[in-house]
Amino acid sequence: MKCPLCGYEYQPEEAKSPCESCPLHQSCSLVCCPNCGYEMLPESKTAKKLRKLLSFKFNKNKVEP
Amino acid sequence: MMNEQNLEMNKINVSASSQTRKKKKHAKIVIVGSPNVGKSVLFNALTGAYVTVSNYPGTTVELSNGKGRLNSISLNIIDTPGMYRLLPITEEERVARNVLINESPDVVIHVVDAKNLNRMLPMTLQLKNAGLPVFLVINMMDEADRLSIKIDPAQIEHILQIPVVTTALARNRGIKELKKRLSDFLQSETRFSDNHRSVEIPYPPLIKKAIQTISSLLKSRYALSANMLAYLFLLGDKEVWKMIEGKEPDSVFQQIKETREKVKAAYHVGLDLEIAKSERALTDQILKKAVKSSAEKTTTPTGFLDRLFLSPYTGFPIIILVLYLFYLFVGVLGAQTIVDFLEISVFGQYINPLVNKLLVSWVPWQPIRDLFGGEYGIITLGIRYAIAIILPIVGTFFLAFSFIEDSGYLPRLALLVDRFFKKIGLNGRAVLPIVLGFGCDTMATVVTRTLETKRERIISTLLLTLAIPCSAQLGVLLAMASTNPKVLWVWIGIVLMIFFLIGFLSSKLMPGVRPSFYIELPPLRFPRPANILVKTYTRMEWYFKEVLPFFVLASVLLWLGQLTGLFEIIVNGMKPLMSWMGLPGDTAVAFIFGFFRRDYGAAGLYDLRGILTGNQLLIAITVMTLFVPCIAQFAVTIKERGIKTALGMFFFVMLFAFGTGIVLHKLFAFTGIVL
Ligand SMILES: Nc1nc2c(ncn2[C@@H]2O[C@H](COP(=O)(O)OP(=O)(O)O)[C@@H](O)[C@H]2O)c(=O)[nH]1
Ligand SMILES: [Mg+2]
Repeated sequence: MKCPLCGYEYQPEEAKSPCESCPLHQSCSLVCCPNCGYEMLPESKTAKKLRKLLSFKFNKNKVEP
Repeated sequence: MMNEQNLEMNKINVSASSQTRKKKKHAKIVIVGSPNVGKSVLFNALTGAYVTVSNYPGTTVELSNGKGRLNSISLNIIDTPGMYRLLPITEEERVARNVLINESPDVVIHVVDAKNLNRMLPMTLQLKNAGLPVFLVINMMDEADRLSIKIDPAQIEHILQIPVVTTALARNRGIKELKKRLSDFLQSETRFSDNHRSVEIPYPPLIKKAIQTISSLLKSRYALSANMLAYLFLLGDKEVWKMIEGKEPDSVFQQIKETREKVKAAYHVGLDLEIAKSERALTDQILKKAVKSSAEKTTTPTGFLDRLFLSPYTGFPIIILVLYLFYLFVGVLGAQTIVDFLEISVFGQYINPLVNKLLVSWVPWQPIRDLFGGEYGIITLGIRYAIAIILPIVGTFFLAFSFIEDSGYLPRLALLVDRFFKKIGLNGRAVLPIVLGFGCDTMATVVTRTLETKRERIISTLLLTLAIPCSAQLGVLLAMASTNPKVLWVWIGIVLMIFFLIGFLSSKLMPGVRPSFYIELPPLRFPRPANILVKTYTRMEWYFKEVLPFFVLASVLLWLGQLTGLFEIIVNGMKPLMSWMGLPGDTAVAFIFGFFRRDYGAAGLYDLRGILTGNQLLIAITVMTLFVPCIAQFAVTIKERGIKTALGMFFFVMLFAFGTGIVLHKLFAFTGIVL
């Protein structure tokens, strides 16, 4: 995923390391950018399905994986 | 004379490892790289049975140390935790960096992921620039093959003048070749990177000169090259800073500091950004020659618009304009048009009467009826708030936010705010991601990670409680404030003031926290509808998963409170407080909701919108904004800081929030302002 604030590209796993010392991190689905700390949500399974469905509908605009 | 001698010593020290390399019997190898690139797989391939795992002194970070043999050379190999760059941010990175500094390795094996060379090669450049004997392993070639990314290691080797091998370590591919090259490298008389034909990172002349000046000023002995020290010093590395301060005479240190200040002043976007840009430029250059992949895209930023966004004279008016559009979309369309429809027509005329009627005819016990229906029922209050009030607001809020995110506006906003903050001597970068981000844990992470003394921790947890870290909750408050435009602007002013206060306090309190990070300006573009919809959906799903249980829980607790009469006692108890703030007694109920979550409280205020005047609305919303964020955070505070501190903090925040309300009320009464 790409951070919308600073432009850094990262894997969701990379983004977990800054969260480890947070007491809430087990119940928290947010990840944060390893470069700047901006918080994001990784896409859920349903969101991925929705993306597929939409990319079919909007197939003229190519959708990023 | 003396100085020249020292300078020589310094140089000798830098290449000490290459001197001793001749006819080696023992060699020390350090494996570095980002997490999950295959470092440990390589470590296991190179070591035998003698592996020890220990904590790095003073930390919980683990280091593996192993022995191996390569032809006639005995190896001592260290596997380090993941690091992304030489300038450390996390504890893991710090440990990895310190191993590099302190162990004077004969070889530094940098393992990178073939799929992500563009992100990982900058660190190779940094390592090489630091004068370390780098050996590059491009791993995960099997996956790169699958993505039809073609990499030519010979090109990279030629450009960088360091050994480069490609492997798929987990597939046992390339290990033999790697070992052979490693053994050659260890036995070669001259080290690869001594070769001056290799390319240089195209730092801007000023930065290059500063690195030269600083490194020539360094006269003492260090475990790492003067170049690397100068580089890290320029980037503001605290440890290097201390190291140099301790070892050099005061006058020299002053000179070094001045050199840094001078270049820093020349680049208002930040030195780190300039440096990262140069490293990326060289990386791109290398990849262009060495990598062929099907998907290559290059774009140029839109020049004219960028100037508008980044200049303070046009940039700040643009922020206001963006906020205004945001207000039209979220505050007017979401919070007024759609909410009114759902709330008054759908719930007011159909669902609530129906639920109550069904309950009356089917459920004989009044308490059970009250649980689901009536004034505070799960359906008539909890679900109604969630569906009719919160859903349209967060829906439009997330939609607008996703649009802004995808348009590329945020990095520009960040740069603008950062410049402004810098001018007034504050650390804007540290707070901006927290303010704009969605959750609430960043701040908590930062707090627990970096602050040493108990006092600092308590103050910063307090900040965390007072701050508005969850922009989703802020969105709901924003929408509530929008019912009265004057209230909205005053409230925005207050929130901005709070941001500045947080920025100020955190820059005083946490000077070392994320002092800087680079920002890359992506091209501005019109977002893709599909992307925005998916993003919005993702956020709504997250929000409702987190929020809905609270709404139901709150309804149940309110029901219990009503059943036992406790609720009424609390509401009555709070009534004097309400009247001190000039608020009607019923507002107490909204504040009780607010303790569960700010946005729930805001929804409660929404219910009262008919009876609140502009002044009252502003007071209520401001107090709600400053209020304890939510039960979850309160629980964490108890866990982290103990019940006594947590309660203390709770009362302080309450006092502060309600105190502000009272002061505002008096101010309005005194000045006669009517909103
Ligand atoms: N497909 C593939 N997976 C690999 C390769 N090398 C390592 N892995 C996998 O990547 C993951 C991370 O490897 P590890 O050595 O623990 O990474 P480290 O964090 O760098 O130490 C493991 O699941 C490995 O099996 C490779 O060449 N190809
Ligand atoms: Mg590992």
